[in-house]
Amino acid sequence: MRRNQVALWAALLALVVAGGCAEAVKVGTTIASGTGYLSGSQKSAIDTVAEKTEKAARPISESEEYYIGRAVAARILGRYRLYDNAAATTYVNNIGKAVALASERPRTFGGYHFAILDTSEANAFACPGGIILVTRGMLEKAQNEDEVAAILAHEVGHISNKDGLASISQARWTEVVTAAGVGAAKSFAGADIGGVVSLFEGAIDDVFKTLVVNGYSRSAETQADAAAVRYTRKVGYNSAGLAEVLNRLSSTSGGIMSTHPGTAERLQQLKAEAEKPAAAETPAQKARLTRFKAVKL
Amino acid sequence: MGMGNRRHRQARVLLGWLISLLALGLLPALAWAETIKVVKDKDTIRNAAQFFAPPVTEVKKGDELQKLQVQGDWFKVDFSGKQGWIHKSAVTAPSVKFSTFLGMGKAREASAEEVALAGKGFTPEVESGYRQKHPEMNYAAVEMVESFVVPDETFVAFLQEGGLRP
Repeated sequence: MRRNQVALWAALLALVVAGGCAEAVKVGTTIASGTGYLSGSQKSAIDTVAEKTEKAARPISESEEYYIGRAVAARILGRYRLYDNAAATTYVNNIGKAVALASERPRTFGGYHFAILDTSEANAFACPGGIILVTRGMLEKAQNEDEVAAILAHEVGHISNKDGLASISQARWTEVVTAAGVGAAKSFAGADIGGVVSLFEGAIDDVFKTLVVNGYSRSAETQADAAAVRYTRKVGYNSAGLAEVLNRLSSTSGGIMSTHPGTAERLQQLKAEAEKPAAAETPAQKARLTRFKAVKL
Repeated sequence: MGMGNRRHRQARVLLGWLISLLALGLLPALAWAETIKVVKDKDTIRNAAQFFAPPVTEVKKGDELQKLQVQGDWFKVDFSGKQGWIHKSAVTAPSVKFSTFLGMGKAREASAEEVALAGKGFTPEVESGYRQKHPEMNYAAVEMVESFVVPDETFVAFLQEGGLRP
């Protein structure tokens, strides 16, 4: 075997042994290059492969999404009190679980959990990973169970589409990956963790701002609407529920309407997708209306 | 001209090795593609590819299943002779045995996800650091939300009464 092929083998083996860690590969290729076994162009080609592999191997993992979601929820719950009503909480969990099972992401690392916030402000928050917080004021806007399902399905859509995570700035995430990589070499303990905690803090800020202050992009909202129509229809709810509750919400101000502009366009889009309510009421629909009315908010 | 050819040859050699590397990396994955591991604390193998289909048997985290067939998001599996369906979110991606790959070291299995997680960022340790720094965050309420559980029977009855089918 020729000498440069041996050197290449050694460097590529380093890439494999290092498990795609670009830093370790760079050390390997630098040694091989310094000793004349690897030309400059070969070195940079291998380094580039290593870097690309590393980047490709580091999306936000399911467990990281879970810890981000918990922190975002903890921050929202520092602002709003939980509504202490077991019957109503069971009701939203049953509906929420049903629509979540119909989603593209029926299960997450920590599972889906639904809770009610004790405020008359109409709003709903999808914390990454599956904690969905909906306000009492929002539930009061719904006139039947199908509309509650539509609200929750829209939030499940945001989780399924990872819209909250998307608000974490790319630069910050790159820094997290780098810090974690360096930290791993130093056993990722003690002083190193402080830096990652600061990055975590920043990531929570990014997500919180999107959920509570600025809102998602229009296209994220449109896609979550479409998801809500799909999920509710799949479960057996009337998928026109979302359009009805949105219509009602559009006449209110503050709360969700401050972070959800463009309701008219969303309604237009929904009109094209949703079905007409059935003329005759089925026994199942009657049962749903009865139990909806039984829940006291 | 001579230099250009040499560079060209070097590039081709490099490409050749990269392709062999890819092949080496993929072969073990194919060879072990049948074994999947349960990653949820516990889950149920069911007799049809849908949630709330009648249960066949219970599995717990770490149990190894033989993957037989795929249908959408569901895997048909064999667990100690019992066959049924499990949702893909309850199991790992097919595992790769590192020992057979490198031919050295202690036998160790890593799922594709574990490999991707090798450089962990946000861990429970990071969360506790964050909690210490921010005592105003209401984690107690988060834990209340997470621990609120609706029993399966209640949920199934809820679906049936409302004419719903997830």
